[in-house]
Amino acid sequence: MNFAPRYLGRGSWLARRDPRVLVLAVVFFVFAAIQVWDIRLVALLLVLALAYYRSARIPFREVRRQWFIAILFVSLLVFGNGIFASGRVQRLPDGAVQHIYGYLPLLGTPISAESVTFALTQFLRFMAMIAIGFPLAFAIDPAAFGVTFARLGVPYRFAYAIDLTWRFIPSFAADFRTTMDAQRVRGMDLGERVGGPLARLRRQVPILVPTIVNAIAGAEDTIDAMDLRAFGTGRRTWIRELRLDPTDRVVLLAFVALFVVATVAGFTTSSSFLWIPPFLIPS
Amino acid sequence: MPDRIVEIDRLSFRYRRASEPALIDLSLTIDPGEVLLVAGPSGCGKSTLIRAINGLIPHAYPGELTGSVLVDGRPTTEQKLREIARSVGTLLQDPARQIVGATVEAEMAFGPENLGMDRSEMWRRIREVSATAGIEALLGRETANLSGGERQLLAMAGILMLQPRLFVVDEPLANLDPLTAARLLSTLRHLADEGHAVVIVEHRVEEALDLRPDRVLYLDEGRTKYLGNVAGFLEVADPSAVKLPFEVVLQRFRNGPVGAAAAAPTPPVLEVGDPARAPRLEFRDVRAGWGEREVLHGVSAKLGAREVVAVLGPNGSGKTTLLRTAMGLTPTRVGEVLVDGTSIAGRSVASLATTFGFVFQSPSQMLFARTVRDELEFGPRNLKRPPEALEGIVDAALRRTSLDSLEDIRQRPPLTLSFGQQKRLALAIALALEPPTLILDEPSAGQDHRTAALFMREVLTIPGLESIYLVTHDVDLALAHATRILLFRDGQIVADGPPGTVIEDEDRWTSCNLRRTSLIRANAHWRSPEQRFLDTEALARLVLARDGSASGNGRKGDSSVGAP
Repeated sequence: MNFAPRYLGRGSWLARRDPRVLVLAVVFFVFAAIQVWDIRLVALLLVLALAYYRSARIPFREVRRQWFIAILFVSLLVFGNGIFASGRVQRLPDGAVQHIYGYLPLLGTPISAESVTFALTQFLRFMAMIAIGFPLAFAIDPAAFGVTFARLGVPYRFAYAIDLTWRFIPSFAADFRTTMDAQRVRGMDLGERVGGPLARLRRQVPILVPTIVNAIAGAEDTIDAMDLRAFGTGRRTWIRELRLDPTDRVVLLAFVALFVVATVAGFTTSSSFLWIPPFLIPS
Repeated sequence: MPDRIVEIDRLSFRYRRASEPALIDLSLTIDPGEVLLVAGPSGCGKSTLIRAINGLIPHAYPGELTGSVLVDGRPTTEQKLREIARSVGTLLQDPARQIVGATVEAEMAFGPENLGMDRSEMWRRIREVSATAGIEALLGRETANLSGGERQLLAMAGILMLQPRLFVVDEPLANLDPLTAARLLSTLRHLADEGHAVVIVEHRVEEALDLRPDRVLYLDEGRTKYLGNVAGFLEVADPSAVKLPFEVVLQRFRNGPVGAAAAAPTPPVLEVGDPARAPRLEFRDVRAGWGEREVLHGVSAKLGAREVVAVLGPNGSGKTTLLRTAMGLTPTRVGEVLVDGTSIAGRSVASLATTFGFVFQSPSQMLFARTVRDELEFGPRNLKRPPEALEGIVDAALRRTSLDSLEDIRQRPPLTLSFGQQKRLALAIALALEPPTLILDEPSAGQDHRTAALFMREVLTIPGLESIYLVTHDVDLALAHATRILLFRDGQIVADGPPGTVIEDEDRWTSCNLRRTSLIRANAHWRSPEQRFLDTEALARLVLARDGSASGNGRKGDSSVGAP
């Protein structure tokens, strides 16, 4: 098991951008995307996001597990919530009627062209957001997180905490693996699936307690090491220099423009309402 | 002296929640160009002294402090850590915890960044320091992918970046193979020769003496037992508490009884069994590794059911991976592992745990239960042992590890035990599954000389145990207790045989990052070929016996100190 973020996009066009661009791109894109409900435009946003993601040149085989988890999670969230939970559809134009295909057995939840469109729109939107977000983890130099957030105005102690998180995830994962192995040699069956969620959680205690205790003990050493190199005692500089080049400015401007257009369109066009593909409407 | 770096005057310190002081009435000065070795058993106050010098006491560790600590002529109580950090650089024991940067450059720049240093100056220092520390090849790499030895050197470089006047180094040899340790010591010596001061805390005194310390501070239970030159220290140090060169121990034996060592018995050896019997563990051209990295490159070996086998070699050479494959913890890619003549393919780790009791390096990686009893019952319960048998299993495990002598041990929370007791509990946990063979990963890690030796003696006297396979950096421990050595390098076995034979090829030995310790040289000199390799005390007694018989015969034996 490896949770560690890896610099998989190293050397790519996107990785050569100022990392602040990657952070701000996510912010502007997300705020643009949440305003758009027309599935045609959301699909367009997804295409844009995938093109952006592709420019990070992240090898798919290295992240297929993360993509699988993301798609599974989004699918459960969207289809579970949108279709099976209530069947209620938001963002329909005033006076629009629902074209119902039928009702779920037992639950009685209606399934309609509108609820299906709603779910598909949400799904595409989340996938677009994930495509824009992945480069944050894989196309930013792990050593640049702190300075990136510090230069975006985050206090440097918090900014450095982000650096430290990336730094210690591999160590924590290694400790976790060691503890799992230490309990496996005591006969613990990690794959046991008996009992409810609480019972399963209780069975993880032999793994969680040593891992957490060790992490706390290790943190004390790390805090000492940071204190001894004068962390947090005064003005700080950063060895990494961040400078927006013309390409960075263009990319950033494009995302700002996207946000502005989405906002204006939301007030002036029907982009903020669901659009039901005609082929989904029963004749 | 105006240039003096540290002046400690009658320092006593008690941690806020402790009942006893950790340091008592300690006075000390440290001058430029000086190397001070601080030695003593665990709990003697070494770490507290380091914290007092680098300012963590009182800035990060509150408590009751009397006396004074001056760094660069000013009390540490009146300086900020930021100011002290410019004069005192500290290398902690575990570099993995000390390194905070995600890349080598980020780690090296961490201290200068905190001091607000100019960017161009930081880059200049990175170039300079990476050359001095010999880590130019590491530039650009992510710290998570460095080996233990590389991390240690990087942690040292991170301190060098601050150009402190004094380097404080806490047990740097604990996680390093002997030759990497020698490289670090040579860097420290070079710094001292350039006019920096070095304080090194180490109980592996024999290796630390390579640093040619000017003075030694010997602490015990927070008090100064000795402060002076090396020769004087070697006369007073307890050989059972710190690891001294053999010649010194021999001389001390000649002068009379020496602490606990005088009464220590010869290390026991498990009974050697029938060689015709199927091996307990067999590797057949095994290739194994982590992720995409192959660590074992075609290993073949048979480990007997009645043997004590020690695996030695450099950091990262695959020693631990070898024994992990035996437990099924690291999957075999190519080749086969057999236990008692049967392939382990398809067997669970749990089923192998009844053959091998695997004891990890750090006991805290496994302890989780509220009481020692619960901790010991965990394994047998997992293996569905009948509930009525559990009490007997717990009693036997405690008895076999001598933990039953501790008052109310069954109800004690495991994490309240001392580190040495936790090590024994980890052993008891493994024994609770009643395996005939123990696998020990770095049994001496985290323990001082005395407790490590005691631990090994206890392991070897556990009743009912057939064999022990261990991985260690402690060359003398391995040679003195094992009946057979597997010498590892780059994921392959380069030598396999009895200790006396494996050490004969000096080039091969040093190419595996191992050093010829004074005990090896002394064994080569004193031991007759048919005898097994002897530990320090046993060899010293042998020499004394020869001295006695030689003088009884009216002639003086060839027993001059340092002759080996």
